[in-house]
Amino acid sequence: MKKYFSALLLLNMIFILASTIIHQESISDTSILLTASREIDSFEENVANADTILKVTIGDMIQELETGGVPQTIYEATVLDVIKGNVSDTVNILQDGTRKKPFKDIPLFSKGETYLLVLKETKDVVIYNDTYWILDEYYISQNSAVDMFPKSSTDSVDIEEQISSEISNQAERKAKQLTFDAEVVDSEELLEKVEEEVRK
Amino acid sequence: MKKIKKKSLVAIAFLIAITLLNISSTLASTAIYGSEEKGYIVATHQLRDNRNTFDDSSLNSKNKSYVSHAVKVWKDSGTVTFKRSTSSPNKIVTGSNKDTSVVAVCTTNFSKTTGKISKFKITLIQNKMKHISDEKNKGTVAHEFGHSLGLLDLYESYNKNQLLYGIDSRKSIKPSKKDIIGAKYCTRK
Repeated sequence: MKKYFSALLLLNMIFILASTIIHQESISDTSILLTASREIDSFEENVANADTILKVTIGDMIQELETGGVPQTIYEATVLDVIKGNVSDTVNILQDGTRKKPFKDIPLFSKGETYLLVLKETKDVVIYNDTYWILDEYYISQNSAVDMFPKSSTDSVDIEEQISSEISNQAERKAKQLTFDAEVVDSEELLEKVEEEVRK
Repeated sequence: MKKIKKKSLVAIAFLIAITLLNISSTLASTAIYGSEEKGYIVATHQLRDNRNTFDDSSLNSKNKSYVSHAVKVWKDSGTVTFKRSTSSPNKIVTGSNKDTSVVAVCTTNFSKTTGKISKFKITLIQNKMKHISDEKNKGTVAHEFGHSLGLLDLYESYNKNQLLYGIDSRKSIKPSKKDIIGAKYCTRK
């Protein structure tokens, strides 16, 4: 019994120590918050201005950049579908934000995620060939697509929002990561709408 | 035996107290004041003091005029007076990115435990701003000054008339009544 209480006491002390260390780390850790004013065009304008529109799976992070004022990250991406333009099987995507300096409004990509991206070829960041920056971004999971860029209702794609029971769990989780009330639409309808807009 | 039991109970009570302290500290650092419905959102209990200085000495006259507008409208709102000082840790600078949708960015450094902003930096992306009207740029810079106080973006279309509306189609270039309520919370003593 004595051994039991001694073990319990020791365990408690370890917990207290660990808890205090974690607390101390949070005290010494200054946090950074990045908030941006963005120029976001309408769905139609973005489709018209895009050099390419792709459905991609995000691969490895290649490089983080701190030049020019906006922290940015380059990711490798595997092309699943080309809706506009002509690109190779893999491209590089330039996203705003880095792991240390993420933007409050749009979360960073994670490896393995699928997106429909409306893209413009980079003019400034030319470290790698086939690098594109993002005009518009939709997270895709099964039958659901989450509009990741904050837009006014008149600038959003004209598709009815999915009713909640049809939204995939992953899409729901992704939408909850955003600081605004994101539109979740049917991914097939979105693709059809983009293809229709490209044909115009 | 009783002594050991008593010691153990004291240790457990101490452990619970420490855990509760840590939880309350974490909650304080992530708390939000206000909402979209209220028309203002304050991040993480961010507090400001009267040392609202900034250094924009590296800017050209056009950018300085946007900054002057921001200083004026925030002063006129009765909430905060920003003052130029070349020794200020708070910087307003230009950026040169081309491959981004970001027009301006406000970076705030704040303490996780107290929420107090230790410094801020506003970066004006010239390759974007040069294609935008002076009126809109004035609104953008005043909006970023709002972020420097601890205010967050609003996205619901019914908040279009607030300066802190996060989309560039915002209607206002000066703080609205609701922006002022949020700013007063940020700068409260």
